[in-house]
Amino acid sequence: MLLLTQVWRIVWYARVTLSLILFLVVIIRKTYREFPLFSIHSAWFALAGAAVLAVDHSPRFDGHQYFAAVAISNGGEAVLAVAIIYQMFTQRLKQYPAVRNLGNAAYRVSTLLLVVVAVALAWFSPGLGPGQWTSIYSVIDRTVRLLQCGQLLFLFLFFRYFRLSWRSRAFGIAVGLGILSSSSLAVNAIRSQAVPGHTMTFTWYLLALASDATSIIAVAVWLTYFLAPERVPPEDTFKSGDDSHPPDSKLPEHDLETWNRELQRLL
Amino acid sequence: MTLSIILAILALTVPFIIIRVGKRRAIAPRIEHIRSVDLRAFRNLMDPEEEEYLRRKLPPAEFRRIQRERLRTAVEYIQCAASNAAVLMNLAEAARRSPDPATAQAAVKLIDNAVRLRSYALQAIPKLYLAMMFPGRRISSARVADSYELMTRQVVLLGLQYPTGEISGSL
Repeated sequence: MLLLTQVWRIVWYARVTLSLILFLVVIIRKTYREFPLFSIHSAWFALAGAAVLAVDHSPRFDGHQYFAAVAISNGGEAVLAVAIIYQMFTQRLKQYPAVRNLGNAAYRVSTLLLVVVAVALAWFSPGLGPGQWTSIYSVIDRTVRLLQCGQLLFLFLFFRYFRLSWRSRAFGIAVGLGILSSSSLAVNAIRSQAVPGHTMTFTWYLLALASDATSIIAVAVWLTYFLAPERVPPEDTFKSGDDSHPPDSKLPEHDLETWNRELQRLL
Repeated sequence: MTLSIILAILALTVPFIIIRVGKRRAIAPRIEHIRSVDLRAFRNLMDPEEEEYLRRKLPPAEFRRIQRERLRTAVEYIQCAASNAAVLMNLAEAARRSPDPATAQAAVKLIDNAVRLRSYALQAIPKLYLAMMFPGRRISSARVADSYELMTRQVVLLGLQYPTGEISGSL
């Protein structure tokens, strides 16, 4: 148990340190111009994480205040993540007017369905806890994480079906959010049933360790994508008049016959 | 408790699905994947008059069997057209970044129409499956055919400015 607590604390510090590094990278690389909401998210993730760590160490704060700090930190992060997903979706659709209306309608419908599922879950499987606030927090957190996971899945499947291209950093942000929200949802689901409230049991520490470890993976994914140069697809390098054509295309030598056939068909 | 375990397992599959879908995005469809679509045959399959003729001429059980076959073929045509649209989008994405404004504009139009076609296909295929279950039900997939025809024209137009290989002939 003692070893587990120590390992969890080390992983927790590592997560906060990595989040602060990510925040610095976002500032140094001026990524806030391109991804303003994600920059706010990374700032919140780093600073709120550090604040929770400080609350945990300071003798001035009791358990309830620590719980409030965790709830505010996670709540802010979750709301920002939902906003990022929505922004990624709408910004990409702006470039594809043909699918904008369908996309927006599908996004609304999928969100509504996810809310219905989340409410049904809250009804059939309410969070356990010693106090009313811990139960409410557990249910709200699960609802938001479920919404995030569902919206991310929708986003990826929609883009996949319509072959809408991702920019590498946007893709990295989405993958990181997917790891973060899914692990939070899984941990919340198990914790709400297996661990009553914030009782410090072996399972509680194990779940906290799993949550922080997956957060490290998510931050590492973001760092990898932000430190690496933005990947330029091969087709982006095509210049008219150059001999460099996209790899999939061949310069037709005698294409007149094909065009003729097409024009005859159209006439 | 069971519900929570199911939820936790489902949640843990999310990153794997995302990475799997993301990996697939790197495998762009290639020109060789273009399959020919006979629009005349497709329009014939979706023609209500043709359907009405078959209904009058054939016994009900036979009509239902034939109609299911026709609809299954129509679904294959639509899937083929949607798959071709994906290949063309890949090509047009490349042409969209061309410094020549005419090429870029033709490419944007082609992308727009290819996306539209895939959107129509997404809506038409479930309707066709529904019609397979209830063969008397009327459905229209004219938008798919029209959109495909327009897309073919746009490929020809794009081919005048950008190397499209012999795609227009394959469509």
